[in-house]
Amino acid sequence: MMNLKMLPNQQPDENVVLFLRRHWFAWAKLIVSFTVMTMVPLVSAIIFWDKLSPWMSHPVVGPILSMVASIYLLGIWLVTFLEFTDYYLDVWIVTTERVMNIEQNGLFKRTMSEMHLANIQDVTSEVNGMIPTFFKYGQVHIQTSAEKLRFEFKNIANPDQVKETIIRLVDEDKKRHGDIGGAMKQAEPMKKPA
Amino acid sequence: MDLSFPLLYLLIPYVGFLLVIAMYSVFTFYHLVRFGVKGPAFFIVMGVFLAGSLILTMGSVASLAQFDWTTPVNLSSILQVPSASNLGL
Repeated sequence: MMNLKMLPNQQPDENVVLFLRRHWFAWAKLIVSFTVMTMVPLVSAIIFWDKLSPWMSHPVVGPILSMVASIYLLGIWLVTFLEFTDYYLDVWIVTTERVMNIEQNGLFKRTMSEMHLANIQDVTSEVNGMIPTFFKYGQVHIQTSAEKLRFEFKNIANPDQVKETIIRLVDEDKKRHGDIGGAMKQAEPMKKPA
Repeated sequence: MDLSFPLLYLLIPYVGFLLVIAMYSVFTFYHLVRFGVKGPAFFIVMGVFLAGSLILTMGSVASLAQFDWTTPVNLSSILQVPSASNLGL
């Protein structure tokens, strides 16, 4: 079990600043889907019980219908919980030293990656669409000095605030450890736009 | 020819499904315990998962237990093919 006070390879003065999961809207959709898929057949069975009861009392059809209903309910429960596990185990942690990206894809694929704050070159927040704008959630993209490496915080709450916090932490980290990235940038000759 | 079998045979796929459910539940439980983040939310999630799984499985077994599964199922009555005489030809 992961303990936020004892992260892997944690440095003595390293503290967790942000602990992020996807916005609650992600699992609210899951709960609504589960409720609808459970309640629709249940309510239909209650409404049409007059027509259903002769079938349920049939010695062969009754047990089969009951078995199918059981399999349906257990299947929905399992799928919902698998999806919830996927949501629950997708975590992004920002500390005073690094950014950790932990993603669960299904039950058998798990990705853990991290980068030091000194490697961050660009942080972009993105809110795209009516519902994300209304509920204030979106993406944060973190570009590292390596061209292809890019972290993405998916559907997190308040992406603008998260972006600001990361930028502040990067600045503080540069002050603590020295601005190596800035010195490298200054050494490069500026190119004039065509 | 009178082909019949006890209704009990239909429980074979049901038991198979329960085994799949049990297997996936164990994997889910393992993942939550191994990779979950320590805190009060963790125990709530685990409690809901275990309680829900237990209640649904027990409810399912209890609802199926009230039927008589020794009732023979007559295949010829299920697979009735309309004959020419039935169609009035």
